[in-house]
Amino acid sequence: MYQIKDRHIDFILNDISARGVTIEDLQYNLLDHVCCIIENNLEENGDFEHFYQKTVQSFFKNELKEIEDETISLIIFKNYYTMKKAMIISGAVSASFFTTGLIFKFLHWPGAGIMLILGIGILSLVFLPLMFLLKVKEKQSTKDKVTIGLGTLSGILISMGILFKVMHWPGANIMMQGSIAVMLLLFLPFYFFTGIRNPETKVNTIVSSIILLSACGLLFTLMRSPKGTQIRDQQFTANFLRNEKLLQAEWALLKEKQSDSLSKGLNAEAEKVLQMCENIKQHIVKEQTNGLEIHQLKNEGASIGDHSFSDVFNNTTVSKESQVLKSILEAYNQKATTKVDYAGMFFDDSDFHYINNINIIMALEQLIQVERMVLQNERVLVASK
Amino acid sequence: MIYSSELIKGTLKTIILKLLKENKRMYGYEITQTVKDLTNNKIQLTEGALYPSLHALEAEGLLTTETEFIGKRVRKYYSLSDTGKKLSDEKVSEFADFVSTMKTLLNIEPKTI
Repeated sequence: MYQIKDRHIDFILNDISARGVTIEDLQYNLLDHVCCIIENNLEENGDFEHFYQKTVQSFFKNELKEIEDETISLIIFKNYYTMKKAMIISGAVSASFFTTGLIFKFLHWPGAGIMLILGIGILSLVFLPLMFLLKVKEKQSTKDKVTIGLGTLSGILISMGILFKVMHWPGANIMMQGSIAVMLLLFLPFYFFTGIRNPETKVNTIVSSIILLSACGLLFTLMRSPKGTQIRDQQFTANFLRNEKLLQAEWALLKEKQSDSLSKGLNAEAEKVLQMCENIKQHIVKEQTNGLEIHQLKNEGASIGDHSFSDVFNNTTVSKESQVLKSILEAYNQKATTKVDYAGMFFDDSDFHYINNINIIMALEQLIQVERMVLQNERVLVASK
Repeated sequence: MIYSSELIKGTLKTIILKLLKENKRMYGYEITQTVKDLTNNKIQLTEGALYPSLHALEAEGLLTTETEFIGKRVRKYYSLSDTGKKLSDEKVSEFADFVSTMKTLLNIEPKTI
């Protein structure tokens, strides 16, 4: 029986860690194991180093680190079946939130938003990552693993992007563009060229790639082109500016009449309403165009986009002024003979339900309409004097 | 005949649990030797399969460990935890059942009519 000395132990331990085994527990287990074998099988005057190398090589196929890798993967995937179950459950939960949320959304019932957030959230943050981990475990080749990783990444990005988009959270566009870039520029070529080389998966790969490309194509077909959006926005802005011009003309006409009839100008309530509408419009436009005034729009060539009004509304000035406008209008209507009908306009609803469903253009138009109604009343008033 | 590693892989957990049930506490090398002796060298557990399994079983809470110093080196003894004891019986009877099913399936013991 060979006597193992301390220097042997140091030597073995160093060798084991040099071969890539880093888990201390495992190092000691292997050390003890090697020592046992040497003690039991090597003669007293045997060649330690030679015998050690031979023994340690019988532990693995390619390298000693295999044992550590296997240990890690077993420990991580000790919950393999739990993970599989969790994946199926999370998928089912997300799908049911999704369907119920969509039904609620189309029926316009409350709670649709939270269900869709949960549905998409669980899909992209629980289901897809779990699916990725389990699939990667099943696949052997690095290429397959990369393909799955890229696919999952673009899936997560696209679903989170859509969620962020509908919630008006920042970063939505970057996520969507990123997901499409990952899918078309990385995933698809990778998937296609690895799949096509294998005769077994060749046909499947071609068919799936075509389906994926067509799905993306159909999605893009539905989308408005950037140029189209630009033209639309320009049209919106031009319409808005024409309406503004009409309004100003009416205002000027009224002033002319007032000076003729020697009346003492607009009454105080009307003045307040008009002023507040002007303020809100300026704030909306400023918010949208990085600080431009309405009269600067044309010269600067800036346009107001088809953006959700809620983004601007969350700017506290606009929401505060909207509340003020409502109370001023109430006061105005109490005195006016013909009342300004603002039912259904964005500032009418105290819970601001409407603001999520209208865009900036509509909000601006509503304000112009209020102003024109007030001006009309004033003209009638002047005419009757 | 030495059995293929695929066959051993599926039964390793059962083997470890059963051995620890019989022997209270064992260390890695001891387990490989015991298996070798009991099976007349037919089953030789590889280090690459044994230690990952031991660590995984420990992480699952089926095994408890104690360490002892032997000179400068550390020896880790494994024994069954309470859940491990329960699972040991379950695994053994499951495997016994599996063996008899395999016998029928592979016609190793043709049924007499």
